[in-house]
Amino acid sequence: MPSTAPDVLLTDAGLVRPASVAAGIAPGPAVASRPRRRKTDLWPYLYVLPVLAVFGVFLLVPLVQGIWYSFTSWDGIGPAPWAGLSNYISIWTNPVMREGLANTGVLVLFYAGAPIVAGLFTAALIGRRGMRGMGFYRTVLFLPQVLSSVVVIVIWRLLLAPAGPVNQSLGAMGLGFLRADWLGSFSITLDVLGLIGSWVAFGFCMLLFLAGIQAIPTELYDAAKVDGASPVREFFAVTLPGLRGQMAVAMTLSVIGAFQAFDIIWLVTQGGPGTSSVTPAINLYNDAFVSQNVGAAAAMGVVMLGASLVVTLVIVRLVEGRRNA
Amino acid sequence: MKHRRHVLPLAVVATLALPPAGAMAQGSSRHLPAQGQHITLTELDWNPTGPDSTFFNEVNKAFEQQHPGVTVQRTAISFNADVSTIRLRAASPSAPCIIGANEGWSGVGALAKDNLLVPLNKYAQQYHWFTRYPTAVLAQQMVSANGKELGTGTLYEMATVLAGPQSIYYNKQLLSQLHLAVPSTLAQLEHDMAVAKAHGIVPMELGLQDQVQITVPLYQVLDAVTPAKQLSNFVYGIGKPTVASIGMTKAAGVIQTWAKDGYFPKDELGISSSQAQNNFFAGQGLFFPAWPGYSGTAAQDARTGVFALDGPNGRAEDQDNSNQPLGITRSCKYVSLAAQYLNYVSGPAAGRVAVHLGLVPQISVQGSSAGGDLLFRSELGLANRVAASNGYVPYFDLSTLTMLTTLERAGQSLVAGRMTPQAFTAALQSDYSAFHGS
Repeated sequence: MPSTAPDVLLTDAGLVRPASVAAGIAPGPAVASRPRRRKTDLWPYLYVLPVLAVFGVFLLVPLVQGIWYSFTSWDGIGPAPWAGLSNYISIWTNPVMREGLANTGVLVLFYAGAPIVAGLFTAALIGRRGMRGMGFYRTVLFLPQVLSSVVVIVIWRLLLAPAGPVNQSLGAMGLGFLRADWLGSFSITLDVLGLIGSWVAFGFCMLLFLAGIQAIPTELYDAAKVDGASPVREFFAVTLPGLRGQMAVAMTLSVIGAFQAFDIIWLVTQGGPGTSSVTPAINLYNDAFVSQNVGAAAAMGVVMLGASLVVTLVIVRLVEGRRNA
Repeated sequence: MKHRRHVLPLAVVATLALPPAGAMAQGSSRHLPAQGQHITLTELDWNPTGPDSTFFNEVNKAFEQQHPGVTVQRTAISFNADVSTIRLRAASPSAPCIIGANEGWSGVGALAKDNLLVPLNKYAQQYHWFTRYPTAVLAQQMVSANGKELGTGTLYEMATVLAGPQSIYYNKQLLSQLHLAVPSTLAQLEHDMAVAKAHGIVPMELGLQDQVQITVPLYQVLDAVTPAKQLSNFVYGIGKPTVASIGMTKAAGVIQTWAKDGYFPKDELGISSSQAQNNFFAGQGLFFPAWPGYSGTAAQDARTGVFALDGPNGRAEDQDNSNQPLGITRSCKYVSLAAQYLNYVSGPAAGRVAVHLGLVPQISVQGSSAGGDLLFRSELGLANRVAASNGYVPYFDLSTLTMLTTLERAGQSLVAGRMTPQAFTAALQSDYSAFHGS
């Protein structure tokens, strides 16, 4: 973040950090009055050393190892013969791998798009101050987020079984023509699994946006009302711009969640029927634990990491770019 | 597969009191405990729950009683956890002394190739394992010296007494109502299913959402159209077999025809195998293809029987493996003692424990009774019949590391009519060729 112009925030007490002003916190000590830094101040580094050590041992070292193994045909035991780029090439040449990547595109819509839209809508509805029972709604709607994947799957498998409540209800309402083999169809199962993912992610997005709405100054809403803005206009003119930061967080996390989609799909279809719901993470698992080709699994992991980083950078760029504009 | 039978605790206790067969056999060894020495023998298997778990607890207790100073420290993990981590566990310097690895290339094949298991031929001779078990069962634990063939060479694991033959359960009441006989050939099975279909009864309960159940009817048909020896050679990679040469296209065609003719329940791809099981025991279907040990309440069991299709020559042939083979890791300090354990857990005493727990044994168990459970007696009869003809065939999917996954995925496409039998065979051949190289 570039620093803001200091003369704007010049007070009688001296230079004050802009964040303190924005948050309404009492002015901090003047920068001008700070003691001069010692030449070799190692204490801060010593304080963070334990965290850095843990970070290095449990994240950086495995990351570097994983990247190294992605260029080998290591089977998980013993030596790791050099394989060059073959693991990466096979990701693009293997039809099942390509299908997994294509399915991720569909899942992004369900894991990121749908929960964000639904979360925004719900947060706008129940986020208005003074609304009664907001705590109850918030708890109920957030509940799927705290359920374990296994519980989620048990619920949905029961609901979506061929003779389950969903098909029975459709039949009872005279909508029998809509009945489907929801979790056993080559054409719709991936979408259904995506919807289950949406249901899980929705609560998180909603809660994030609710928190964001609480932080939007009430004066802005008052001003909108004075100007005669309708609730819809108020949403687009005040709420939505005020939630840009939260949207960036929600989009980043949910898109990464789509890239890493595994548990729900594995527990229901294991990538089936056929290969219609395979994902990169399922392919990674099969490479590592079924094919005993850890090198290929590592390559898939690196591709997933790279894709996640790119998506994060793009989202941050978009949001920060607009913020700075 | 997990077994759910009525446990007979008193019978088990009585069984354990019987003298052990082959315990502390033929002299001592430098790996046996000295007088007063305490030894902990670590053991890993994939039976964390159910009667199979009880079996190991009881057998381990009995082994400890016969070997004062020895404690068997058991670790039980799920089958999937075992398959995915067994190589890392076996390679660890602190690996369990006795370890359970699945048959095939992912288990015993990989561990033998990585030199992580102790060869057992010496102990097989010492304890007469090759005469105790059908050769078709022990062959599944053997790996060639170059590590490129299974079913031949050195014995690296010993089958425990627990058996796992595939079979088809049938509803006795429905069969009787339809005036049908228990089938033993493919033609008879298809006739029975056609009659059931005509009477509005689901001919075969099948749930393919979790994929794996497709293997049972497919293997049953394969067993019926292809001789056991030919199937075994294919799985073990002996000669230059192809998937088409073992009758897979014909078997796949039969399965697809059954699906098209409505012999499976509607929306079978959206039903889990456990739901299919529930439907069968609720009386909804005539047949239910599965592994042994599927059962319901006593009343449901009483109206259930089991059979397997005969081989093409009329012999009793069936795909089967040991439900829990065990090997000895290289890091084990007490190899001879561990071999004694393997001898005990594959012997008659362990067999009696299995029978009393309602678990089908690999060997004919004398002096035991299956009690009044007719379904279990039916399973025992089938197992003894196949064992007597040495008709066990290794599971087809043990032929490569990834064959099960390939078969399950292609099987769903086959049943859904999105893949021809020829394309199905080609998919399996592609997997086989990629692994064996051709």
